[in-house]
Amino acid sequence: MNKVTSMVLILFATTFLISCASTNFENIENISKFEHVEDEKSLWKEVEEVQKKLVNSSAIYPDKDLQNYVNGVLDKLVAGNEVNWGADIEAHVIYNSDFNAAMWPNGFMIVHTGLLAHLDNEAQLATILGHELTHFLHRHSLKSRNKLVNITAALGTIRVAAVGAAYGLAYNGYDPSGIDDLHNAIALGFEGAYYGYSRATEFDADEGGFDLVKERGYDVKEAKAAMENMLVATELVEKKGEIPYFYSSHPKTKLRIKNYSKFINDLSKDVDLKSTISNGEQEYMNHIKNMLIDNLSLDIKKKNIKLAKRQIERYSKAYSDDYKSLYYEAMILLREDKKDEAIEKLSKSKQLNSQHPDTLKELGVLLYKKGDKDEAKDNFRNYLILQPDAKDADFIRRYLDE
Amino acid sequence: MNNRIKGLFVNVVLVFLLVGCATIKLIEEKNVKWKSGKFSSELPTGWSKYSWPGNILSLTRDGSYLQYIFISKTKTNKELQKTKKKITEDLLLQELSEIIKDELSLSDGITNFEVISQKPANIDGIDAFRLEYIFKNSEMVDYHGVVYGFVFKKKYYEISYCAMQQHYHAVSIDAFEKFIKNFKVEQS
Repeated sequence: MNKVTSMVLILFATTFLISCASTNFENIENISKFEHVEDEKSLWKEVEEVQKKLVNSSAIYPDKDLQNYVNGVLDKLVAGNEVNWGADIEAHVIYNSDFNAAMWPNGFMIVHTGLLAHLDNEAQLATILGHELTHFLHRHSLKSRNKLVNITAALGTIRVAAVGAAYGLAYNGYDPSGIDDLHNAIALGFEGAYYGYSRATEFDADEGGFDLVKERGYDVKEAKAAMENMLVATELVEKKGEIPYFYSSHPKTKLRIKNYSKFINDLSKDVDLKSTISNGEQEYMNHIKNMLIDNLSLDIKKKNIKLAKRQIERYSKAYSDDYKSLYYEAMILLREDKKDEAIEKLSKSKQLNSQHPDTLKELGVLLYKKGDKDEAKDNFRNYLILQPDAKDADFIRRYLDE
Repeated sequence: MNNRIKGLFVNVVLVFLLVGCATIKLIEEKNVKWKSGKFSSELPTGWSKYSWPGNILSLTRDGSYLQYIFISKTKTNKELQKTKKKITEDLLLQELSEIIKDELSLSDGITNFEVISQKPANIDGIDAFRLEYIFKNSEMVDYHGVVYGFVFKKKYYEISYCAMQQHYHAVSIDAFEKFIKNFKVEQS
């Protein structure tokens, strides 16, 4: 090694040591009385500002029942330890059809409707929540942030905002909340919460989450099934580049499935897994009914056809609202430009329920364009009887007046 | 070309581009008449006209963050950015307005999007729709928008207005509606 190289290395090492922020913190669940470690308090405070904006926006899915249910499951995992952990652990359902869930450094968790829509039961939900809760308990945000600060400091670039670029993150227009919180989040240095942390950190969260699911008596086999569901759903996304979060990386998800298999196998050596309690399928499906419809509508709007089809299948299987399934099948057919088949589905939907305004309107529009104006007008009239104050009522009246 | 000349050439092009992009012209009584292709109208005095990539016309009075009037055009049969839907000539106005509503609602950086009204309209004899909506931006500031949309000679045209709800909407909307009232289309 020549003299210059040695000097550069010594300089680099010195810079690194001087600037080194700690990444070795005790896990929160192991502390008897919670106290913030260095930088943690300021990180939480910064996060709270973004949080305030988010909870006051329409990004929050407006279904109190679902919100309470998700938090009920989270409470089971938290098991009354919030006081010891010094945080208000709360989950918020975000109306966004991307598969995502994230835990912010201060215990504020978000779960997208897009993720909930592809899970089968409460045990799978508990797996996701347990994984995210472990990110909080193991202080992954702070550790990850400090690690990045060290790297950027060592490289002589202090700007935390550059972290996204340094990690090769592609923003791709993805907006997890409907507002620009991601930019703020990246600037705060907890982008891992959105895009996934390092592989080791994610696996640590999987293990912690699995333990929580096991301890609360859920069917642990469902933990693996949750990941498998994510893999299936991810493979149905037509534009792969648009998938956020670590689910976008198939090998990673496949590796995680493998990990869960190992957790289950290891556990089965000591415990009879058949004795584990329940997966809470009925309970889960009861709570996601309306959300499933809203989420699949969003997927249809965004032309995520395969994903929407999967959700309709799940909806038809779980509920007896066949008229709604038929209506959404028709909406998908329209996106595929199959108008005659859409008319057929809508007509069937109408036979099952003649009081569904959207079916009547869509059927009216399609028949009107096909030239079957009398039948179109019948549908329009019935639509207006049911929805006299519809936002588009003036258009419909105009077609009726012709 | 040696490096010095190349550098000079690049600088000249840059200056030219910057000056070109930054053109802002105050609208006074003497220059209210506006015409572009088949369209014409009277511009609101006290506003400024500026160039914006892709727009036929861009106007603002206090800055585009506070209020703007845009005219833009899109080819029909081309996928829209968010919904991936295509505007085709056989669409009913109601369908067209639904597509634009969905497209707007999926815009990046907005939240609390809500439609106030969605109606048929007429712009100098051309069937159009009028969509009025509100939303919040990423800073949770309220905005109010109105879009008139129509298909004309195989292209979709949009005359849109948007203003910050507080202070700016009330003082700008009349100017926009007057602009629409005076909007003329050469049908030939």
